[in-house]
Amino acid sequence: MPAGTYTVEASFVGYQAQPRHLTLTKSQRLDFRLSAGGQELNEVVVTGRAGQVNVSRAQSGVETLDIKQIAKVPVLFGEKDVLKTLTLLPGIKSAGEGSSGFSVRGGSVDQNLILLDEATVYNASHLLGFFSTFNSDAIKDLTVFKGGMPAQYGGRLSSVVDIRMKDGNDQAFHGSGGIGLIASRLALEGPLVKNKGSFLVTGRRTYADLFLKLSRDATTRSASLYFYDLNAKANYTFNDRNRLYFSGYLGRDVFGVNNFGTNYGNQTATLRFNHLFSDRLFSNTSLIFNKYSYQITIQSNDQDFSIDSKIQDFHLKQDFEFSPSTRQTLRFGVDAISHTITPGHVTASAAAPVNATPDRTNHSLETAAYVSHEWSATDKLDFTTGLRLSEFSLLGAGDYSTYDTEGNVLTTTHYNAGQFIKNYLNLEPRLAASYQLTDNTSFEAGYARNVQNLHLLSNSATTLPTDLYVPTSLNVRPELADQLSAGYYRRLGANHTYSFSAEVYYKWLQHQIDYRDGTQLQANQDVEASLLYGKGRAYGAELLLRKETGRLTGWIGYTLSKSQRQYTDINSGAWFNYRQDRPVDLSIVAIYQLSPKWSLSGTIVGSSGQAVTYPIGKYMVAGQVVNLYGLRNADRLPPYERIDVGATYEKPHQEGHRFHSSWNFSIYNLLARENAYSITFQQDPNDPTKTQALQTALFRMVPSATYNFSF
Amino acid sequence: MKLSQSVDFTQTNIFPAVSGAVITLSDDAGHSETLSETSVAGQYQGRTVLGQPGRRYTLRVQAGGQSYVAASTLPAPVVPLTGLHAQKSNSGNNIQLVPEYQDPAGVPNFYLFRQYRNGLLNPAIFLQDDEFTDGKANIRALGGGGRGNSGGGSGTDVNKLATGDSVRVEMQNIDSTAYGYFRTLNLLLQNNPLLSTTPANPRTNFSGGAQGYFSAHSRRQRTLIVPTL
Repeated sequence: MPAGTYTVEASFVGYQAQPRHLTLTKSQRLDFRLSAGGQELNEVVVTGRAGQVNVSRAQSGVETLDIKQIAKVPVLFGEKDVLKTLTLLPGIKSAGEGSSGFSVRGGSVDQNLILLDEATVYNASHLLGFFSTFNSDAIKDLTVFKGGMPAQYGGRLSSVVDIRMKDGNDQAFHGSGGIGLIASRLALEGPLVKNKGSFLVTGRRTYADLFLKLSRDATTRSASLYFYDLNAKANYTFNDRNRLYFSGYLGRDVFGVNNFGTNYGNQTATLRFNHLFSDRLFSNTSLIFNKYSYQITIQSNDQDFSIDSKIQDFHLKQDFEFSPSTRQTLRFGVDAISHTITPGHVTASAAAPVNATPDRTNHSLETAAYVSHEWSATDKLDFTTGLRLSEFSLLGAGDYSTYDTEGNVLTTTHYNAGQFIKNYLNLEPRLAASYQLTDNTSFEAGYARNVQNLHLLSNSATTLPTDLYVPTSLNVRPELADQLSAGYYRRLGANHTYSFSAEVYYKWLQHQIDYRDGTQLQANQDVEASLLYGKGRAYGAELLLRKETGRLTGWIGYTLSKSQRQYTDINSGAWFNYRQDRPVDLSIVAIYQLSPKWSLSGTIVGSSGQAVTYPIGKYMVAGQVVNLYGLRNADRLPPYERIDVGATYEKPHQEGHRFHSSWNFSIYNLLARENAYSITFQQDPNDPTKTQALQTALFRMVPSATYNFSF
Repeated sequence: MKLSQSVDFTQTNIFPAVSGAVITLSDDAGHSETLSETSVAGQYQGRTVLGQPGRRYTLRVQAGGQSYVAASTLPAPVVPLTGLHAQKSNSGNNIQLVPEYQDPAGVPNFYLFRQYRNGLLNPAIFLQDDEFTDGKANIRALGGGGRGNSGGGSGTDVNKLATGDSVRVEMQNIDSTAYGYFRTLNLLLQNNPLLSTTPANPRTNFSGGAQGYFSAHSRRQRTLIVPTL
């Protein structure tokens, strides 16, 4: 605020308003103590939050989803899911039907940094991807950066998905929960110390295994199949200047049958300390731990063996925010992550039918320093200038090899613990400028470079729990992405009921990673020998029309895009379509408040099919007919279309009761369209002289009902 | 040696034989011969170059103005198939066969098994290697060998084993390139629609753009009458 004379009035319902006149020359703090009394309350005006598009901010490629907003969007099996709903936004495509994996602006699934209260979640899926690890009861909101990531974020090429957990209610104890087709949920929250601290604990567990108990088959009865999620968050305000937060997550998928068992999941813990040095200088210190692991065990008498794998990080982060004037904000900070990756490692008892494998655990250190300057040069022109310096070091101990282009080992060197094997230093500039044309219209343009040092290898179209993480190494270089983007934003209608945005982007990708055809990724002891390195390009236009107020809310998103890759050893070095290249993508989301009790919702999704490889011929070998394949991803699955509908009934609130309840009904794929998940080609069982194409569809029509309550 | 052409995808499964090819087989001990075509078109047979464990063999094919070359080593030592027994599969009521052999320690070994039920060849290609079992006595059953044939024949009824069946198992010691071919061939034949892996042609050991394989291998076999389990 500029210096001057002001009148400040403090008021509260049921208290006398208290105006005060003051002449402001420097920062000062005022306390008001209001006396009871005052006027009777006549009217209550409740207003919601302002529209999404803040047309004056220099930030393109950013979308926010509020968990309240998406609560009524119909989803598969009725489990509210922020990641699934995210794929309804332009530029974000699901990796496949029912998958939690997604591709942002033509990138791959592992190029998304998924953060839960600052902790990295490496595998954000349950039950092979049909559910995400984010229990909606624990989530406050989600922000996704599709491009132009602020300089405080780094480590992935395509996007940052910043998910924040809810803070508990610091006034009174409350609970909520739900019983659904697949899972039940319970959340409890309340004050630790009233007005000073609160907690939130949520849990979710599936119960598919309860139905297995009904089976007539003993093996099925004894099988286990479930997943669970536990989230906890607590915060405590010491005083106006100091605040401490803790959040934690624990989730696991468990599957077992006979002597075979497997389980996988994530653990995260974040300790965050906020300190206000002055009104102008804010500090955030975070200490973060996260781990993703899987285990496969086979037990039979004394012949036990197991396969273990993990990726684990310790992360220390220090951020400062300094506002020297109302026109400028300076953000700067440092962060350091220590990664430990253990690829599938076999331990076996002496009598086991397999041998133990050497432990190939690798260690690496990822450090970064950044500075970012937000500057309102004029009332209309804003700049955000950022620079991130990132450094990745592969550390001993271990044996590391170099390879020729054929994948043959050239040299193998042993390194001692703590020894720096290889360092990569990268500068990542992030620039954005926005110009506000009118009160309702603005333009924005930006450039950003991103670097990625952890790479996921998967031989499935989506992701599997056993997918392999490899760090940047002697052979694997940091992946790089340069993105140019521009956008046009406009608010429309009376009271700015609608917001419209149009964005275009072009992305250059370097040091992309694929692997030789036929590579076995599971339990591969020398996967680097099979890797191929290439480049990529992705470009597109994204249109989004959103309505956030009124009885009808929702959005229409439309994307035109292209994503391609080029590798010397694939398709003879020609550019080919990336698997997730789906040139046209449309999604319509609508929620309509029919009456105070009933609301209706619907989504329509339509997109081009994924790029796939069909056979071009066939031949006979070893007594079998075998398909002959030509160029990779030269074909395309049929277009994907789906309509989902939902209805929510909220039981009218009874005066004096704090118990609320609601029913949510939804139908996934209302038209029961058999969308092609994959098309495979096989010998016709009825006529071996012919070949037939077999289309696999995952979900036809899936109705579901969920009962939710809160108190 | 069988030589045939691929056909277009929409055509019926009749693969024209390649007749009149010039095929030479040689080893690294200085022997060489030209294979002559048999009475069956597209099938060629040699007589004088014989298999010796440890020797490397090279096959040269000239057909249609193109030449294709492949090489394969006959693995040494030849691992004896010491026994064969039947067991119930882990997951269901299928019967699987377990080939008994002692893997030689310290060297990589690759095995291919073919299974004949009452004289009829099961098209499944069963593979085992010793990457995680070096030096161990084998207890792994023949399973997961291609086109829906897991566990020695849960696929089609014609290959499903039953008590009283006479089953013959043939064990081949193959080299790493032949193993690489059959492993990637199985990946293709077993392509799970739910994983929707990008399919690719198997890793052939032929140069020149041909599909298929050339394998020099030993062969051991045993027969078993499936007991009541």
